[in-house]
Amino acid sequence: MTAGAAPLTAARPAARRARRLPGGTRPGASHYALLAPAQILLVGIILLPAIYVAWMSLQKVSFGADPVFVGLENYRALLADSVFWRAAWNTFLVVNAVVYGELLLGLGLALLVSGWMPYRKIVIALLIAPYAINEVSAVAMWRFVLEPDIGMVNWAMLQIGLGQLDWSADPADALVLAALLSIWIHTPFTFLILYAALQSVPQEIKEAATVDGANAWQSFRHVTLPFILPALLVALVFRYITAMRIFSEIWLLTEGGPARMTEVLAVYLYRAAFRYHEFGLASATAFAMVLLSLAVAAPYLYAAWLKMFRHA
Amino acid sequence: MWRALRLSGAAAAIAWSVFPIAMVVLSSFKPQREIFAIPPQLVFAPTLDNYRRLVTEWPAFFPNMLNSLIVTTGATLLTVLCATLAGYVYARFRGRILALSAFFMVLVRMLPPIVVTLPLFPFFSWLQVNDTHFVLIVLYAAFFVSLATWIMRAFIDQVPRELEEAALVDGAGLFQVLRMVVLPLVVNGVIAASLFVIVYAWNEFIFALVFTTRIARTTPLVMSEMLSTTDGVDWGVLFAAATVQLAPILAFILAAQRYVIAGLTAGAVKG
Amino acid sequence: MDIKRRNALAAGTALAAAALARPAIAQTRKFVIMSHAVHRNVSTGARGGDSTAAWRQRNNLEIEWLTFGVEAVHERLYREAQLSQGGVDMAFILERYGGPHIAPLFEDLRPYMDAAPIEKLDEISPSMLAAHTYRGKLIGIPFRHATHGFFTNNVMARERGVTQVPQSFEEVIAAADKLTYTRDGARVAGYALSMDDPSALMDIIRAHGGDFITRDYRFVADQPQAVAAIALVRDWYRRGVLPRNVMTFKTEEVITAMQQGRAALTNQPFGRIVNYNDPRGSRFPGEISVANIPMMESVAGRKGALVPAKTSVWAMAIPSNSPDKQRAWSLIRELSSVESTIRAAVNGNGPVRMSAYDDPRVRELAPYADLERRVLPTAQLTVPGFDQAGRAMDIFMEEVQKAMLGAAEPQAAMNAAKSRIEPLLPS
Repeated sequence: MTAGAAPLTAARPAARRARRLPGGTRPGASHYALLAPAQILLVGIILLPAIYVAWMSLQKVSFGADPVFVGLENYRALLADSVFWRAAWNTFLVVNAVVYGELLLGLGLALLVSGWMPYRKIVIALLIAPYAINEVSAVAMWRFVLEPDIGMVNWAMLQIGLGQLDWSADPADALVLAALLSIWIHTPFTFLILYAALQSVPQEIKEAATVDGANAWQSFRHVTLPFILPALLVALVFRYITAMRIFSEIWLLTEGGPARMTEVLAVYLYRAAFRYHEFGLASATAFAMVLLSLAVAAPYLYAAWLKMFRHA
Repeated sequence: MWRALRLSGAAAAIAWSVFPIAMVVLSSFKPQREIFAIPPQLVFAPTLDNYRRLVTEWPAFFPNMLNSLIVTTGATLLTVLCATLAGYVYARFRGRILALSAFFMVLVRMLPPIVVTLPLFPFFSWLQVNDTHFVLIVLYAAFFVSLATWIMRAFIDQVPRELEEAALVDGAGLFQVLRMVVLPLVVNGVIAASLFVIVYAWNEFIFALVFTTRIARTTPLVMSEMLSTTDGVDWGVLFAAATVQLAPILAFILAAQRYVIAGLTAGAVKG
Repeated sequence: MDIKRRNALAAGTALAAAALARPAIAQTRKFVIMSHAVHRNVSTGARGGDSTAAWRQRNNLEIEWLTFGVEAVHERLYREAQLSQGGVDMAFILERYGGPHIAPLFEDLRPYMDAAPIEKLDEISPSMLAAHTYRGKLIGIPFRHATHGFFTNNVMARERGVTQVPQSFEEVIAAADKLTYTRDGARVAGYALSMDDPSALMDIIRAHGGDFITRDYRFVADQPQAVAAIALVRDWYRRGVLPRNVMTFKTEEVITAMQQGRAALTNQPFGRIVNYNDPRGSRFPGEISVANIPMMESVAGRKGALVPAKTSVWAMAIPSNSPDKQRAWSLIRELSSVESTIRAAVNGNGPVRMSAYDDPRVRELAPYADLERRVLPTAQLTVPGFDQAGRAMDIFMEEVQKAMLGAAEPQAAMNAAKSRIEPLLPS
């Protein structure tokens, strides 16, 4: 099979490399057809709309009226809007808190569970339970235990003199709660990736390190960490990209209030589009989010690019 | 000592992840006036009153749950179908065009979903498919087909190609090979890929918020309405609804735990 | 390739089956109304009677009420109304979420009126009709006015020695201070205010002689009167006279706070007296009373002067993409009839026909009828309608809340509001 298709393009270096690989067969027309459904979905539902958003961000659009080309006017309005900057800043704060909080927690849990642990399977099952919970339920759960004065966690915190998490009045506390919620829902993802990576650390090397007199930290730092670093980075990038989309947690807790102080980019976009009907401004926000996501993903994308074309 | 520390660490971690869920499930069986009782009561006479009121006061809840079921099933079938076909090609063939299209698949995964709501709302309206199951199925599939393709590719990679070659020699067509030879050997991959779509589609909020109003409204949406009603939040009913909504998916996740790990490894780390 | 077709067919069928499962759920077509829950409650309430019953029977049609919060109902309705094929037959809209920009989404009701007129249209005040008319196009028939009164929890008032109905806003302030206390271990806030839009705040500003946007579209909330009102609200918030989480309060939260005794005073539409005293939800049934909102004595120069209370006008509209416009119009006629107006008023609605206040049923069951009628002639809309009214109100509330949180002084916040809102005003 491998040799069958390769000679046709044997002169090209890529093909020569491909021939060395077990799966280096050239696809035929019918194989491209197999890709079509997936690609059509992606192009039709994600790529074209994203391009259209870029175009819309240069127009003034509202109900019933024909769009008018306004150049970069929407971007100018966006950058001049203090609420946008606050939303961007809030997003930045929440995303970083969430991503690193989760990474630490996920790593801690993964190390804990992959060591000595009775009933490991059940423990893992309980730890990943939040993954199954929808955001509305999660918000309801956390609101319930943190209801001002009467929620049991706030009540308990008041009892022991900690003061309460005043999310319904204090914008900072609201963001803290949104971040907590987000960490709670998404930690299972990070935990599982890191747990799976830990399973791949060869036991012999660890044991060798211990025999050589390495303590727990040295063994982790010099043996385990290098092995799980790729997974760690993948989890990091992935969570950065998905955390930036944060919407429901904020929307269902505060709708961005008080005083639009807890808005994040996605909430800003939703308001611009569906409350103020300023689709141009909303599109500019959307495109800004796209660029931001791509910028964050750039290292990952670059690595993916290299890997894919190495095998091409 | 070391072990005691580990155990208490695990206990704390379990409390963190399970406590809110347990509180909600427990409270759904409490009478209305005891839900906010302070100090919280762990011993109480359980009642089904909240569930009864869920049925009578929110008659749309169960039909909406059926919507969720339809959308989840549809999205899963569509995703797995597209992903298996594409995953097969990526596992078996190499070439610049393929590399480019594979890179494209990874790239579009980086785009925030809320972005596409803006142009798709008028577009779906023009197609007259707003507020239908179809819209959600297509959207959910589009946002998960790439992850699922990667999972399927990883699983198909492990199927020895000799089997296919033998079948091809016997005169089978490409689709016969896929269906009769490859598919039965990657059932685990199908489960792993489905799992992510199922959890996502069952719980998704923002697309449902934007694209459905009445006919295709899904469960998370009704629940968000319960969170903001005129007469204040009826926590008992909301908790009953949450319990009904999360029970099947939670059971499913716990049962399919090992596939989550396999899927994440294949789809995120290797991709 | 034969297999391919079969596979594709199977997949297609699965999808089609999924998509077609939709009619299986909605087997019989229902008449769909999008509104706030209050419209369903006053139209079908048990006290005054169900005004839709006869219509439903005549048309052999069930009504499905899709109800949302005040802001959400407009957000969703406008989104629905843009669709090429709508699912909403009729809707209730509030004037302050309207504006010329949304007029194209709704039917012009004048031709309908010519074909089948509304009973005694001249009883409905021209200003209410004007609130839903844009450039000569009438898009809504007024159904409900929500005019504000001043509510007191009498149990708490007795406990704290507040014995008289306040005759000036100074007395309201004094009462709010007295009623901020701890009762059975729980904190009671003296005053509750809905803060999702400026409507409740407007009464306090107008009690001080100020305003937000005048009828000729001038921004005046930076004047000393309005700033004094904002300073009062800030002071209230800091001293706990307002609940700590008041900034998340919408009408719904005010209702809960009053019903649960977490707040003692508020200004809200008169009709809310039904909710506040509802024995099923309220811990104080029959104990929450309503009065008119008094002006500051220092502004009016005397006691007993009334605030030009905030009013708003909900109207029934037909989206341009309504599947059943004729039936929608027939239901609008039904619900705006003299008899339906009276029934709804008994159910707690603010009647748009003055004659309803003379009906004995209304006088018996809506004891506030005279109070409401007294203030109606001077009542004012929150803001005059314009394209960017929604945005202007949000900016205003944002700046008010900033002042309350201490992020800006009241005057500075209002100056900032002025510079941000003035560009939005029609010239």
